[in-house]
Amino acid sequence: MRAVERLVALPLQSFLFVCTVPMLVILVWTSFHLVGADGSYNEFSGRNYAALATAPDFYTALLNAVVYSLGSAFVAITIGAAQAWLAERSNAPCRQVLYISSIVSLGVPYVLYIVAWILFLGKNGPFNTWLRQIFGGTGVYVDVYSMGGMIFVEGMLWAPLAFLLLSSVFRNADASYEEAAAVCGAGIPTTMRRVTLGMAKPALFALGLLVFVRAAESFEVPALVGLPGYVTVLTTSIFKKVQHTVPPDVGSAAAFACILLLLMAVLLKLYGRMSAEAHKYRTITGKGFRPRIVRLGKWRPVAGIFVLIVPCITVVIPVLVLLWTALLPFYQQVSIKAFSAISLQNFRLVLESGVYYDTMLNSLILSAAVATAVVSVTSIMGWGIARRIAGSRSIDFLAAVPLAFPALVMGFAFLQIYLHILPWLYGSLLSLVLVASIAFIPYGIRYSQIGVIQIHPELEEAASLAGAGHWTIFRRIILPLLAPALISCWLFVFLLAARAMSLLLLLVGPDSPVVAVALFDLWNNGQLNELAALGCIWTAIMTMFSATFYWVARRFQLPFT
Amino acid sequence: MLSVFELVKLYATSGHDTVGGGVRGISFDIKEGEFFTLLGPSGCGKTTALRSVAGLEDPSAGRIAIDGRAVFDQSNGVNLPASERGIGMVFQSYAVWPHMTVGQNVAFPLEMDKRRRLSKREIAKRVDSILNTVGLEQFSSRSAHQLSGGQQQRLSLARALASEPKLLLLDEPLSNLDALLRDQMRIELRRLQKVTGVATLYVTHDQSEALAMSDRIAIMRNGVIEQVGNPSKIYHAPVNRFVASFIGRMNIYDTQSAASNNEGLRAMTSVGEILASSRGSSTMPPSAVAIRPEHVVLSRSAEGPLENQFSGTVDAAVFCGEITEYQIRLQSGAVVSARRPSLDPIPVNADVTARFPAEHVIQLR
Repeated sequence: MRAVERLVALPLQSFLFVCTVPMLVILVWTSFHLVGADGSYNEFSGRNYAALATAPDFYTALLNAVVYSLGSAFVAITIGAAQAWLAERSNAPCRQVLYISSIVSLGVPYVLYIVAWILFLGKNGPFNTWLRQIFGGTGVYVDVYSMGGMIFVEGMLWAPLAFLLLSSVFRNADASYEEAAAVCGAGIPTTMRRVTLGMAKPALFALGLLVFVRAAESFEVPALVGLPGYVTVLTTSIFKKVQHTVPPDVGSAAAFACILLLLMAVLLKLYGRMSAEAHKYRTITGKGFRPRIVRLGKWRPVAGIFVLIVPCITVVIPVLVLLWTALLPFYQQVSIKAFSAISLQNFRLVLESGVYYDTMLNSLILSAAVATAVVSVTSIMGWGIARRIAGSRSIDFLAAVPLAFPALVMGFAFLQIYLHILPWLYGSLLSLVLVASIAFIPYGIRYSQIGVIQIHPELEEAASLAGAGHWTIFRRIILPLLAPALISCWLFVFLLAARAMSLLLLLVGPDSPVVAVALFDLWNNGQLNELAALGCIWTAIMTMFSATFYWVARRFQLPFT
Repeated sequence: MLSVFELVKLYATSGHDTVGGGVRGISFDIKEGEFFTLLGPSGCGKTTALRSVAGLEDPSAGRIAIDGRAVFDQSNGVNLPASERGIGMVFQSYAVWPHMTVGQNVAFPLEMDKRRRLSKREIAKRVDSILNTVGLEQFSSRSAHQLSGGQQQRLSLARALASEPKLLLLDEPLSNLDALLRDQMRIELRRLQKVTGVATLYVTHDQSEALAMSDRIAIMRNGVIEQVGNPSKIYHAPVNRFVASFIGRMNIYDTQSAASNNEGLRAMTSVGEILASSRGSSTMPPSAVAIRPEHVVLSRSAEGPLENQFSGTVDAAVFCGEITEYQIRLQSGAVVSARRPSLDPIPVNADVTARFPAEHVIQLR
């Protein structure tokens, strides 16, 4: 058995090594070199780091990143937890709306979502106009291009995810803990505070840290909302050094990236510990397990309003803003006059233009290729890790490396690899498939690992006793049982790849346009109405995929995050 | 201490619900300091009854009073929430809060006690003393989820007893423990109940637990109480076929006809004529007569045609340590189980006579 395991483990280890280690090496290598204007490496030096230590913008970026990430985590967790509790443990009306809106928002590309918010909250957007009408004056009441705006938009981006994760926490909580508090004389508010929240606390903190990490490495909101407001965080600093500086300050960007990477690695390690902490609260449950629904009484209408308002903010407003923009020849305020200008001109333009058609096709091909590659590679890895074969720990470790890479940093590292090592790949669709596949390996592994854990090892042992060899067992027993997990993994990675913008931003060439990056470019070029039309079409396509995904995941009790 | 009157709780979805079939009008009273057990197979409604008393289920009809105070009365709309009923409860899953220490778990009900408003120092003192009682004093500052199953059980009990409730509810508290621990906790639980003198309502499906611990037992089936009595009465004088077969082992024979005289009752059964000298529980003629295996007297030599004596052969003998169980096939074709001390075993296929002492023959409704 051990010999067979080594036979499986060795190719997997080498494969992962080749996938993950070069990007790490080239990043560190670059950070310790002075890079010439033509991109060539000059002398070995620690000057990039020394320059950072004395540059005030580094500390500003660091501080901004911390404030921004903390704020986003707070917003996302507060809203997500309140929604999750209402949906799972109360009799609030219209609870189903929360699930539907979360699924839709999983399909919307970040860029599109952010653009919608900028339009809604912008200087001349409907929100400021209403405030001016109510309070009078001509000033700008809400400036979206600010730290507050960044926190709000990023927090709202993560709220649906927090909701989906926390709803499973509340769903799986044994009601007898709360019943015990009631029997001890505690009323509903005390029970909520001391027992429900108390027990959910480790999960809340772990998830909060996860959102913190994701916000710290995020690029979309800092670029679209932060940069115009002169709020720079670590990821946008790197971007500015590569794209906005002439010649690109590659060495300094690499030093920035290395520091960010180190930070991510430490935080993710901490997250791993905290979520393990959150799991240890699982105790014995009696056979009479049932979740308890709290009757809200007179608070029920209030809860109903909350339940309806949040999806409005996360889905309805952005979609309406986009639709409105897409239907007009140029962007203008909601007014009677504007209504007469409504036409499907933009949609026609997008659908008839060969460029946009190719872009969407490219994105679909890319996403399908990445999903297929990730699923086929990780199904074997996930099995190895779940069954703890020889060498599984190093597989587990190597496969987790991409998690620590912020998407922009990983794109930057691969830019260096393509420029210096694989120039013939640079700018091709294949190069994008390669990067995205490596980036999403960890997600694939998580899915297949959970899938394998649900399969009792005795099922394999029984097949072995029936005379099946290892390959036959994998093909005839494991794969069929693993199929639901693999299907939902495929859909999940597909959605991730279709949404990936900052990962591919530095890598796309003229022959390999993809939708998410095209949306970003359209925004920067001010082609707002085409952006909105393309965005609406793309959101509709993606929502079909995300709905299928959610259905599969829910049907087979798999995670959908 | 507790009075339950005509309690009804039915579930809309019958058949495959996990809670059980509900209760259909049950009444019982628990006296001060009494250990009262609801015993029955799963789905008989015993847990529903207990949860209704706790205030965790809303009954459809009936009346529940704790210590003379109505906590539920359907006729005038009284339904106090669980938090205001002043009871202690041990859950089947223990429901020990994993995010609190052992001490905090016990202190919680004391902090909630609005009538007494204990100071921090008084609470700490009380926590120490109750943890001492259950033998967890050295674990006070340990996180609750680090405890073993048996310790969690003790902690759960300590928490339930902390605020000195008038009534203690126990919902199958021993079912998650392994056999050895279960036997220890059974004794421990009974000792603590005696020491504290708290009236206790205990729910279990395990007859040996019920017999060993209870002052009185109510046997439940399909949402109704079949019989209430002390363990000895339940064991020795079951009123009907269900109680007789649910508690212990029993040889039961249908009566085809029966006649009473001053000797007792003569019942015609598939075995032959059986005389029962003990008085029946009702004036109606019994539908069956029964005898416990340990009361059947086996002998290898026939002693003439005495009353209640039947000859047969040993079909099977099972050695169980201090006793041996025998399966006897009588000449009439009926089967009798008998138990006797393992000394002087009887071989299989040996001819024996089985005698049913008339004073041990039970009449079933």
